[in-house]
Amino acid sequence: MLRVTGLSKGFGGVQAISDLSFEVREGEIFSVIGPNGAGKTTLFNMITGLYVPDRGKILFEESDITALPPYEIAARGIARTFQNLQIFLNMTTLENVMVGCHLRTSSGFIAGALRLPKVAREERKVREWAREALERCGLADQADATADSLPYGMMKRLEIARALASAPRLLLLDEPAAGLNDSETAEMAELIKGICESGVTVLLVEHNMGLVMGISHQVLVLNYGELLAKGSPEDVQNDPKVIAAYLGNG
Amino acid sequence: MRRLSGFFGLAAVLAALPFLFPDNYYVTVVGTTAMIHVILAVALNLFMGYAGQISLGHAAFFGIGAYASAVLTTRYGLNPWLALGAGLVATYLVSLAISRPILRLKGHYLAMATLGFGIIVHIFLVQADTVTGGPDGLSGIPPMSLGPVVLDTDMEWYWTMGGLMLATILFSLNLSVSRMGRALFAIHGSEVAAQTMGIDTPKVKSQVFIISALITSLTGSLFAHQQSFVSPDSFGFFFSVELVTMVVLGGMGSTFGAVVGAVLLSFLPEFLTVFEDYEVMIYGAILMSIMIFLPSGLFVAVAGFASRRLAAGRERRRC
Repeated sequence: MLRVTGLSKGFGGVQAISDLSFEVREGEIFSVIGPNGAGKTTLFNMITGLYVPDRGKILFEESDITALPPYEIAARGIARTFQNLQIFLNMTTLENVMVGCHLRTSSGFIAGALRLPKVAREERKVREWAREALERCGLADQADATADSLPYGMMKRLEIARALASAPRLLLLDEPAAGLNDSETAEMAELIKGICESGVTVLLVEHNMGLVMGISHQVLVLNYGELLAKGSPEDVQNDPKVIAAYLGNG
Repeated sequence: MRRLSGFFGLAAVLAALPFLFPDNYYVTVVGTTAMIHVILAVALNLFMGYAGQISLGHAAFFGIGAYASAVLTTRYGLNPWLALGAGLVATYLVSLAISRPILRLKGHYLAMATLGFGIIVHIFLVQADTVTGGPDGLSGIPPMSLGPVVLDTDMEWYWTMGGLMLATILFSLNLSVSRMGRALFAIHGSEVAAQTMGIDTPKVKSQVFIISALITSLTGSLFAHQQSFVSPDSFGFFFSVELVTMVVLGGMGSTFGAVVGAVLLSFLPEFLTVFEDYEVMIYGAILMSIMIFLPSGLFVAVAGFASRRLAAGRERRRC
């Protein structure tokens, strides 16, 4: 579904990603792990078009999306969340998720300002979709709260709800469990599994090993921008290179 | 229709005022000026308050509309409505041309670029005296007619500007609960997230800039006919700052905030005669105090406080 070949990106003298290749298959949860600074977020930013790779190609469903602007990549069916939250704090929870429906609707400035009948119909639909997404993420009773009043854990789920509202085929989650306590992390694991079961492929960056090993179909380990290991959670956990990178060479 | 209750309330007040205070200077003359300011502030708020951008050059679009009408009707005898149309076309082309390069900039840089644009237009109006009449301006602009009615009394302008003001406010209120309105708020909240949600942010920012400029230019054309005289003084840097102050004073992002800000700053000089000498200083002081003490704006802060009190009251009654 997503094929990355020979991807490289440097910032000044630092090589954030070098010659990385991998493939995400449809319907799986594919996790990328690695120590801080391993280049995980840089990888996400390249897939979603926020950074332009120095070299390499990104193919999504057989078409080249390398260096397309972010909104065009989103239009292909790729949605994401952010590690450092990017919530629209000036809006309510429901409105945040309604923005997620942007690509599924089409009315423009003039139609909206004149409130044409078509717009009213579209608005009803958008509200319905947004409420569904909030429901899925356990935020239904927060719909009318202003987003900046939500506790941190809920903001994390709000980002997922907003991404889901765009009806993506591939969802990129950047550290969804960071800062969550154990019970919240367990809920997050269930939520991600549910998303995958509903037919959305998930690309996950996460530090919480319990979460990653519990739900992933494939795991890729990055170290200083290079692929260290790749395979099933069991293979990766038993890989001596991975153990060395995480625990040191003793 | 609860969403539009404020709008209908305002329309009722507008319709009632001339009957409650017939031939009152504050209603017909200051009121009409206030309505012009409201239109401009609401239009600027689309760009500033909704989309979170900044323009210190909006007076230039007001000037392009006003001068297009003034020059084309006085020098070339064009029909006022055609001249108004020409002003809109000119504004469209200018705003389209500058929007893409200028809107790549953010914050201070965008403020500086729009400031520069405003200064260029102002200098052009002063220097191109063979066309614009230079610093002395242009007088003898013919009145325009709306169907069979020739707009040449204060009351006629009151109704005309009132109608345009209500239309602009309705435009803004409807937009705020529509797809593109949310796209603007999203750009304000986080441009990166807006992009990854599929919003073509360069295009949307450019569109709202152009819409805002067009409303401003249209109002400028009407202003020229209403005054029957234009001079560059009305379209300088200070007027741009005045418009920004109106938006910020009422509360950025709120349509009625822009209305309240514009009305306050239109009536204040009338009641404080001392204001005239210190106008610039007082605007500066207002802008500074709002930024420091009430960053959400006067109207938004007061309305928020009132709605919280009301909600608390309801809560108590329920118990």
